[in-house]
Amino acid sequence: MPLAFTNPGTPLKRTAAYDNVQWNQNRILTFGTRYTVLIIVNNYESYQNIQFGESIGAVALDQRTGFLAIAHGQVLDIYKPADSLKWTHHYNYITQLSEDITQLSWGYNFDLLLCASSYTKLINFSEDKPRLVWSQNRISDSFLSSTISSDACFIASIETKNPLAKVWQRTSPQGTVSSCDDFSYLVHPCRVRFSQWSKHLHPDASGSTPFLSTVGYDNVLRIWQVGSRFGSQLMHLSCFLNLRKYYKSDQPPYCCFIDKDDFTIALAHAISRHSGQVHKDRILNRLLALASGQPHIFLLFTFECLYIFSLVIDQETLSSFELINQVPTNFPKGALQPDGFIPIYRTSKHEFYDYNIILFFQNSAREYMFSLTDFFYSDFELRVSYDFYGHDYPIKSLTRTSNGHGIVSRDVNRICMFQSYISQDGKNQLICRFRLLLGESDFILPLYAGEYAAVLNLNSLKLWHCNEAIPPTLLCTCRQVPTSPIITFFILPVQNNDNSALCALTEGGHAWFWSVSNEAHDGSAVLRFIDRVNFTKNLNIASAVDVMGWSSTLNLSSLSSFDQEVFQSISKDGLLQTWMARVLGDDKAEISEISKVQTSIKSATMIKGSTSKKVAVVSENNRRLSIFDTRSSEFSEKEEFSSVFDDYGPINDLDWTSTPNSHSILAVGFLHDVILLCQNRRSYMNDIPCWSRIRRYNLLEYTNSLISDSSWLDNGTLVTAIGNGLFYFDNSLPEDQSLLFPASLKRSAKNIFDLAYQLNGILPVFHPQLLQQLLLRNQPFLFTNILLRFYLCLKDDVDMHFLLNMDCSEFYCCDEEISKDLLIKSLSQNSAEILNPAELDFEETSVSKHLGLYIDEMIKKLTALLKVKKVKTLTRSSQFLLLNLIEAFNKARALRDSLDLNGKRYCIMLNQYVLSKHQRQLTSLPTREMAWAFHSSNKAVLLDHTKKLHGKPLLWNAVEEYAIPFWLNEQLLKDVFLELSRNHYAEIDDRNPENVSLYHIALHKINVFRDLWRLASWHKESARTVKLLSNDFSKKKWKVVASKNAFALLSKHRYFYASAFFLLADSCYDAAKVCIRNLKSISLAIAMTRVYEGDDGPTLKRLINEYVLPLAVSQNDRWLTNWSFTILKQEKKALQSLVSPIRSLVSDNDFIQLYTSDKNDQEIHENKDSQRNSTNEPVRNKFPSDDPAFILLYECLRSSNVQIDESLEYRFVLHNANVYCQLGCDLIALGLLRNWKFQKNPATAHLETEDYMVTDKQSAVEKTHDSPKLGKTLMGQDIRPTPDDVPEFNESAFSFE
Amino acid sequence: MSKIKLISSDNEEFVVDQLIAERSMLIKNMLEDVGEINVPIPLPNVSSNVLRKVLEWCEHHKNDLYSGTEEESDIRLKKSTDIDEWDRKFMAVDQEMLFEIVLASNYLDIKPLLDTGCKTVANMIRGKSPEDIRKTFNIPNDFTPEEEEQIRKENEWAEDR
Repeated sequence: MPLAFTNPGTPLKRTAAYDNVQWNQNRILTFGTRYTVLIIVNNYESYQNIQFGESIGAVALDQRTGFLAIAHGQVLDIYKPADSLKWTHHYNYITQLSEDITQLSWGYNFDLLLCASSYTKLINFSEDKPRLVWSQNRISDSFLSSTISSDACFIASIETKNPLAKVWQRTSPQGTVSSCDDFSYLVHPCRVRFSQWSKHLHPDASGSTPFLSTVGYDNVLRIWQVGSRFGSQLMHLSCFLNLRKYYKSDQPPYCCFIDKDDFTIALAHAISRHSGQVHKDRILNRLLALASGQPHIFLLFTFECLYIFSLVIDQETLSSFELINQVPTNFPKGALQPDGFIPIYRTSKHEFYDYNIILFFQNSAREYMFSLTDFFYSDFELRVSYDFYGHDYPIKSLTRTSNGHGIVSRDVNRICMFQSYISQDGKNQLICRFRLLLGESDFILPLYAGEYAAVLNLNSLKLWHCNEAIPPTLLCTCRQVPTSPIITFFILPVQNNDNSALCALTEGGHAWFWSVSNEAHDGSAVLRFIDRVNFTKNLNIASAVDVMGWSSTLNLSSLSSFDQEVFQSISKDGLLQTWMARVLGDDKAEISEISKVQTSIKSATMIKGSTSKKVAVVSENNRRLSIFDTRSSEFSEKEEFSSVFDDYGPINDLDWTSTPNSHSILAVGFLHDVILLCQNRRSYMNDIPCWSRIRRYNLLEYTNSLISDSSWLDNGTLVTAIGNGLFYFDNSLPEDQSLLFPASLKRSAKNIFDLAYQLNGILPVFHPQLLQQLLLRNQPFLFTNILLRFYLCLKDDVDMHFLLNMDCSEFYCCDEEISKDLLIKSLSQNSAEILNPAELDFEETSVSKHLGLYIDEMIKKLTALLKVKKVKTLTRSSQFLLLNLIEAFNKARALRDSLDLNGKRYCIMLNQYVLSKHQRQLTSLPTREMAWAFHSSNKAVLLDHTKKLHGKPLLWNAVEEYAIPFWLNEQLLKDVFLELSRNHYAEIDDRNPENVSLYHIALHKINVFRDLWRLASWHKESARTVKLLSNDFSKKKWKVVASKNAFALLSKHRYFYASAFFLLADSCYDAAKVCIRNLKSISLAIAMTRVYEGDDGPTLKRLINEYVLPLAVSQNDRWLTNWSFTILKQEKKALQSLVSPIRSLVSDNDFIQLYTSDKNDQEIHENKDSQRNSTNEPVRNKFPSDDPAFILLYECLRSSNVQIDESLEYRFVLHNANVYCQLGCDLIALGLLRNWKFQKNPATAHLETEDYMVTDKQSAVEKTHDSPKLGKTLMGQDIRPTPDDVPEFNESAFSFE
Repeated sequence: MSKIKLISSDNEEFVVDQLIAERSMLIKNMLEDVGEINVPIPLPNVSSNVLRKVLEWCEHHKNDLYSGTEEESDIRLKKSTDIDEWDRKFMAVDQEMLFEIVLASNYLDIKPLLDTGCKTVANMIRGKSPEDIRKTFNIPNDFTPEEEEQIRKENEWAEDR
């Protein structure tokens, strides 16, 4: 199970603060530490930790009901077991007496016996109100203990000074009326050390008559049995055992009882585990012989030997002890003297050992395990199974050693514990190295493997050496320390075995550096001040990079020549900076800024950076978490994730770890939960967020305390500090699905690292996402070669290597000629598998001659196979997408000769659009795909292809959906309008000319339109309209008339027709505005304008400037920006729009302001929309800036005339390589870097001052979340209604003259 | 030996032997074009981090015989997994840095370094543990069978026409 280990705190060294029972087939163990009570069920199957305000006095479990009573001070709390073996609070009772309760024991029917030094009381809790059943006050002496027997009939008490033990009898233990008047003295010759009622596995069975065991100061064990042999005593001395005979000491003996029935069961379990034949096993036979007499077993431990006695209690005959055996044992020397019988309990059936005992030590309690068979073995071995220890007071903070194997925990009482966590071969072990008491404001830093510690405060920096064997020793002190408050204290990541550098950051923005040299490794380390550097004036918070994980250990030597983030800071106004810090010499250190991001976060409360350049920031009352990518890239958004976590309370902790494959996982700590966020591989097919929640640790399941800190250790172990306890979770995934988030479900991952790999790792070459990118990058031969190998593996059921055993160089060399040769080679080798030469009609059957035929055949076979056979390493959906990608490729292949590259890209992406539009709820083709078609020169073919795909007569909806008005050229668009005018006319039965008015008039076909009206003689407007249309609209008078009619139609909400009349009046702009404002269609406006005026007309430019560009900017739609600038013939800006943030290109235009100024109004009107956006799930930018398609189009469009700055292009290439990696296509990334052709001009490159394009990094932060929320959609994008500037009009104007 | 000055994108100046700098065909060509070596050569694309690393490599490999012919490049490519010990250590950096080295060597036109860089990345990719191979590579948001049916129906053109 994921909870591997806990540090519960140091158990109280009193047997009264400990109890165990077998209840409902569960073994329940409970004990108190100073402020908490632990409940451990079945060897940690379930674990719970309950926190209290005062010291714990006693605990007791009710064997019959599983209720747990806990006394702390004068208060009693009762917990009852709920489902899933968790205990919930049931009752709170305050004794109202000044003394602390020291012992508890349960009787029948919720009777609970309380013992304090001056009283003992029996209280019944079965009803709403507690009822005092019986009580006894101190007479002369104080009560040492008072307990109730297992059958609830007797109460025995012993006193501190009095040699008399007392026993009371309850005549009706189950009744509501008490009668405890009857009592006897149990006479001892000396004072009694401790006593215990027999614990029976089945307390209510007939053979389970209770007996009382006492151990006096004479170290004689006496057994008191119920009933009287001589006289009227309630109990009599049945037998005794002089322990001094075996235990030569006056100290209390270490001894315990095993109940007879319990022993029988334990033996049965031991036999069931036995592999050989039982009757041949000598030891088992001896144990069976022993068990046959139904004895209770009494164990007496000395430091040398274990003595095993049997005790047979018989009401008829005299009871007696019999020494069964004595075996040498390794009893621990440091065990504290007991104050009672040693706690002992049976293990569960499947464990290897039979019994556990608990022994107390100075700083811990240890659970030991042993086997029954050892009773008769040459020596009796006690093995430590668990070490219970930890802090007595709530833990404040955790600090990890740099290797991740050790942790320093520090409690509110300033005690630090240094622990090492060793997790190997599935076994977890925790070693407490030492403790150290700190000052109030000390910062502590464990050094090396945790055997050294640096302690910093405003007076000094001290270096301690600590070892398990010896108490911590102070090695040296340095007085050169900061005077202003310290924010953080950390070790610089570059270090070797001998020397480390320490760094502290202060509120004043200074960094202090010290060195620790430890050349001898003998505890003689030297501490020295190096330097003080001011790095910023404006510091809010700062923290060191969380170096936990693999990449941090990746060859430290190489880091010297490579800047590495060391810490990050954020100012009050949101400037996020990452810094490199290094020590340059004996007295010189340096800090330099690596990156900065201007965020919108004011007064952040927490910041933490990972080794992979991600920084998590917490803000807004600890409710909002944002993750930034600080890589120096001006091309993409820095903010990858931002979400408000309302369900779990405020965020109080952040910790990063890195997986073996360098994927980042962030642990976010809340009040009771820790949630893991993992980065996601980008998907080119679906919208998925960059970060997703994968796993939740619900600590409420274990404890009611609040999480104070958490930290990653090595190997994905998460340690969480809650109250005074530490909880260690290993990296496995929980079986409980409620602790997993959707991203982690339905995956076969074994642990969180596996899961991170599945969400992030490199894709196999046959994955549709990678294949699609290969096609977009124009590598069809490589694509085909992969398909061929894939086909061969699939056909023969060969395990598929993720590279299909191809050489990586085939991918990154990107030479299609070579790929073609390789394809021909592989096809030739396997030609028989694909095509039978006998089937060919021609004599020459070589592959190279008939390449297309072979490919056709292979694809045919592969697609047939993919439809019937499941690929093991692809999900069903991926296989489905793969199949469709192959089919789309085949379609594009058929058009090969008539298509250019962008045309093919359009076909591939159009296919994907059709596949996914329902799932992604798309209503129109993304502008990216529009751009491919727009930049293709085979528009007629593409139009034909699109129409075929559409499969129905072309109507406006389809034209709009496929963005045809944007990408088609002017002439073909006119043809489309012509087609629309026919199709829409024919579509509806009534053949109303109004439905096609705009198409005809845009095409300047007024006469045709008039003829249609003439045909529509049934229409009441027919005659008048025909008459009107017969006029010459090139004359001003008729234009005015047309315009008046347009206004009149507007008032009747006949917008389409109104637009047509504006066009008739030759006011194209007004017509377009009706399309945009009333018909909510920019597409229609664009189409109509292009058809009416042509691409060079003034209206199109105006529309672009007033509507299209603002829309593109507000949506961060670079494709539409590129389209706009291309139409506007601003080639340079068109090119730049693919590379640079849009705002840097258009910010000088005031229309942006116009656009954003009434944003507030918009939000009021569109409250509904914004509500959708304010949900907790991060809103993904609709047009991600990280799309490798940008560089593909950029490569197409750049030319010697139009180019961007050389170094900007360089960084752009690098950025896109990283984008490919995020898509899981690392090999494509490598190909891009290796084969990028720089357009350089060597003669001028270094002699002319480059006219660097200024890209303000700050402006690069495109905050998508505050872009205006807009209304209606068009081409899948929101548009804003135009200002209502159409003048009022008089309806009387609508009159035909 | 004559020294030349190189200026990185962050304006750090590097003074190196001409022999070392001329491992870069770009610099070599520039020097030939300019005809003199006293003018500092700006390399506006390459940051000082990367340039330092690249020059470290050039320094170590300054005596390697290298004609720059295509055949040689082909031979190196064939042995795609062989990387000599020094280069292997030199390349033990994270993938981001490797990418920068690859692009810089492409830009500076240092073919052997470009090949070594590519091979290193390829080895990293190939070096994924066998366990990883068996992993299922999911695309999140799986289609339901009904959705698939629907999509296939709508996509029938792909088969029919």
